[in-house]
Amino acid sequence: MSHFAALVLFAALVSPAFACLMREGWAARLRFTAWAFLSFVGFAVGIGWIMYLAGG
Amino acid sequence: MAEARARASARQEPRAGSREESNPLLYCALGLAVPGLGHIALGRRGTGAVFLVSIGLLFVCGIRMEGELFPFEAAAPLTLLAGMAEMGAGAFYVAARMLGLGAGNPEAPTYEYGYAFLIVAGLLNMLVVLDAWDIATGAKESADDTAAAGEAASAAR
Repeated sequence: MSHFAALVLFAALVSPAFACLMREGWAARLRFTAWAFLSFVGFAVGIGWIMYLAGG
Repeated sequence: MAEARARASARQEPRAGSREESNPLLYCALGLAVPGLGHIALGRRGTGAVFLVSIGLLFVCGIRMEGELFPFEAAAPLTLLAGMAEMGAGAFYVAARMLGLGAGNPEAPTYEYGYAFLIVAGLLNMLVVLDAWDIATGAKESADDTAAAGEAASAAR
């Protein structure tokens, strides 16, 4: 399993749980799940690029 | 104003046979035993099912990635903490121990991912147990309570 696949799997499993903890109502939870998932993946990819560029 | 008063009275006056009459510790114990069971017992079946599936899959993926269920070694505090965190997964942890799973393979490329999944599964369930406590004690207003308060406010007008 690649690093990226593990990251996506982790984000997909943790996001709905956080949504159920932090939001009420299924529509709000669905929006939060999508936002948290994209944030997990986006920040990881962004920080990866920063480390790559900073490390030369 | 009337809505705020109705909300406050809805919080203060437990309905007959409602969850407020039960011991919140019971829901916490249920949630600690099986992830999401505390929420299911509180009548939040959908939410409980989400917790059961997501925490269960996290734990199963951690085991499949050859993650380790850490032993309780007082001499190694970080290992002890990791073991305690993993134990938070309740029934999944007990089942894995009984089946002899979670030995861990440090040479596997997914070993670190595996134990990270296992630790997060346990810690996430501890958060879920605290959420069940908040709901059972009324500290967290459920969607049902909000709807009931809204109806009470409409009736008061």
